[in-house]
Amino acid sequence: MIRIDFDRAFAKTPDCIHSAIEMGIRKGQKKMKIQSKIINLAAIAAGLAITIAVAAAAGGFNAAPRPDVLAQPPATDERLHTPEPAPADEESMVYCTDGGRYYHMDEHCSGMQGAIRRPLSEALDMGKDACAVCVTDVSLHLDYIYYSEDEQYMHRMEYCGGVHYPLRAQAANLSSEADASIRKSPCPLCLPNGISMEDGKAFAVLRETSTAAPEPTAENNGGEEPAVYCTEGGKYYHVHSDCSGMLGATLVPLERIAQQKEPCPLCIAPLHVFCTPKGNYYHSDRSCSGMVGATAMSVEEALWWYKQPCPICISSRIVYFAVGGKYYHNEPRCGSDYYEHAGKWLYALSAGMIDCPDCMDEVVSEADENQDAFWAELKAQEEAGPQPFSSAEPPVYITENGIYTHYDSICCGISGAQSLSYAQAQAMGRISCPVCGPNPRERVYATENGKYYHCVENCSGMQRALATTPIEAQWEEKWACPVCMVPYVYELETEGSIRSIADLQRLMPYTDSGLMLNDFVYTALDENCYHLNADCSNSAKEYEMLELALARNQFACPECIGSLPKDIDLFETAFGQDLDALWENWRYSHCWIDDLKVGCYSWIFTNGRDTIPVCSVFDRRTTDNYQLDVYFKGAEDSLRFLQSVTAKPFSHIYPLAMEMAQQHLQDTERYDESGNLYVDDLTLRFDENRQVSGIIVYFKAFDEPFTIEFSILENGEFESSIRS
Amino acid sequence: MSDQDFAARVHAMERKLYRIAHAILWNDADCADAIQDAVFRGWMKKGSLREEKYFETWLIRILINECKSIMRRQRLSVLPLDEAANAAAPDADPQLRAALQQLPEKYRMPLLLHHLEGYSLAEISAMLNIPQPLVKSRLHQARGALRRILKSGGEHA
Repeated sequence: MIRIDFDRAFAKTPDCIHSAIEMGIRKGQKKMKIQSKIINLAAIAAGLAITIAVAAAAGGFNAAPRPDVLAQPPATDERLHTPEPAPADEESMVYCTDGGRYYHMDEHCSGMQGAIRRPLSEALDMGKDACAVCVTDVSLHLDYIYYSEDEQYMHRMEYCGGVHYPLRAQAANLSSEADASIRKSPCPLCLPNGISMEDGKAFAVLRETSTAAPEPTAENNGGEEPAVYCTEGGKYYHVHSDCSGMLGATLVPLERIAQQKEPCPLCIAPLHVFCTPKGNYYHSDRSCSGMVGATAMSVEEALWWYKQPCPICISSRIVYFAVGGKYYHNEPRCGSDYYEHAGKWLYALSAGMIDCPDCMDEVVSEADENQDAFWAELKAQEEAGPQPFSSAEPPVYITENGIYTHYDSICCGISGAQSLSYAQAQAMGRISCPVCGPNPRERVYATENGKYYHCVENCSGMQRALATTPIEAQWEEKWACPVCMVPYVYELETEGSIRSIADLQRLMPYTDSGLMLNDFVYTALDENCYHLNADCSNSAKEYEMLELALARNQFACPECIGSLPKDIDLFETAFGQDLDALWENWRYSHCWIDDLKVGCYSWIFTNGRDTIPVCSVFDRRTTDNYQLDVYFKGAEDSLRFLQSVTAKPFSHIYPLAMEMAQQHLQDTERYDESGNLYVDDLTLRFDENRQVSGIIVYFKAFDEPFTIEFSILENGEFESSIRS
Repeated sequence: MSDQDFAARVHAMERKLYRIAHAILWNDADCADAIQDAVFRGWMKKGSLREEKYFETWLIRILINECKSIMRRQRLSVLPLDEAANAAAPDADPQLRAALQQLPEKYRMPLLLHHLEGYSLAEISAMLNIPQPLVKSRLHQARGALRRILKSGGEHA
């Protein structure tokens, strides 16, 4: 019989194996922490949104005022309750699918198929919530609770709400005297229903089977009237039955109690959000996504109007607070105090904080100016009922012999254009203008009722978007998304390669303004100008990014933007010069200067300067070289544009200038047919009436510059002069 | 299973993990990669381990999968014999090592898991995801094949 020591076939275990094991463990720890953070953050946002939405669906003030995380009452030790029955012997097993949002006790709840049986802890680690249908009483055995010394809550998870809690204690010892010093209130996020103790073991109650107060329904609150909770001798009325640990609250109609008691400063009054009458969302940011005319109200009021939490600003707002404090603040410094802790607004809410009366007053008072209009419009909407979609189409323009459908009535200097509907233009076989109309080959995405169309299918969390074309989207009165479409308009050559916001950021880290959501102007699709003043034109206005207006070749309104200029140097290079000094006496900006840093529009706009009307009509994608033919085309278009705007016949100046320049070269015996003559620069001079009074063309031939200056006389004729 | 328990048990299996990975990959660097990935996956999925007594079986199963995954990526089955011999560390028995390398993997793994690591047929069946009678059959064939190789290549008694 052969006996072999197989271990001899293998060398001594190398050190790299030990290191590999250490690395694997470390990698796992890191990944778990990251996942935990992500799950917690998502849970904060989703939990609040769902809770609020469910409350809204149930009827605003009539919604079930169960103790939720929106206005969590201050921590009380009653929450560490003991009598709740829970399966104590082993951890509960639940069912969930990989893609599902909830875990279930019933394997086929609501017709669910393919559910996998998992331990409850695993389902929770996957970020699943309890199914509202089949999960009635579930408890999770707790080994440890996590906390920090300076925070009032204890947590089920080491990372809760994106915050790390470094200290831990045996959960089973919570009721003992030994750990009384660390006994804290259950976190409203990860221990929303408190902890139950049974047989010396601690369980996190994930869903309560009974509530202390009756659900507010039409039967028990006397009909459809808003109802609130109050106690007999209490000073306030509440929307939450257990606000501040209140016991014995009864549900009464708000109308009856409003004159006798005051709204609770904790759960009713102070939480202000902003919304417009027509908007679907309520916002924490008064100007979220360019919103105007928003009015301030409480969350409950917003829910009353069936508003949903904004997916952009509600989940991303950062506020400042002190740990354990009562208020959160808009800025780190409020009054004489400084708040070093920054966090998500939702987190502050979940910790029971309310908005600071000092730093929120100013914001609220501004928005309160819109209150009357808001309520009037809402009332009108309710009375009118649902409105038919898209009652007024934006017009398009065609010329008699043209082949294009124009969105700009004076696109490329066309004259005599007739306005008609897009459908009519389509029926006549006209195709979208390559200059003023978006490229019809581009695919964009829009939802049926959405306001914007997008180049990214899931922009800002959008769901159920349908592919369409920009033209069709505009025809349906949708606007280019200020988040994803702005860089897309500028970066047509990336067609097909943008599939996410990350792609946009990689391909187009900056817009021309450098600040994507910085400069906003008032625009209308059927106008050529953008405005700073909303009342400047009677057209319907949209408050949107300056970049979008510029991308549509809209220019600064001569009426509401700025005073008249003196001289304008269109192509003066600013390279190597002090921009502040250079523009000190200029009114207009320079959009064709390739040496300018990215962000010049924003810089100029914020310094109170306009955009040059001439170069704003150029196709700015052709600015990467100054070849004569490209420059010619752009200049001619601009002159045509000026011709249509100012009624001055300039279009023949440019060929005239070229003819004179060539003659000049011949006179100086330097004429060369190979094309060494090219235009280096162009200056327009405006008079006090905003009319072009002179044009200076800067030529270069054999690297020797000379200029031809045209002065426009009152009778419309020119005087020209050549200077070397 | 707590994090500390997991780390302790993995470290206790260090030699075992190395030998199993090495029996498939025959390369220290690849072994380290496979073990690191296996430990990482094990850490992430340790919550799904129902009974702790199966921890070793479970982790070895993950490791074997990782090794096969690396082999697939590298598009290699085993190193050529002479190269493998060169790659062997000086403290290894080159003839036994060469003999094991000559064995097809389907015979080599049951052989090492049973006679070197001491796992039962049932455990090997779970690790390799093959029926228990097949494990027994392969063990028998592996022993015969190894005996023939060793006799033809020299005496290993």
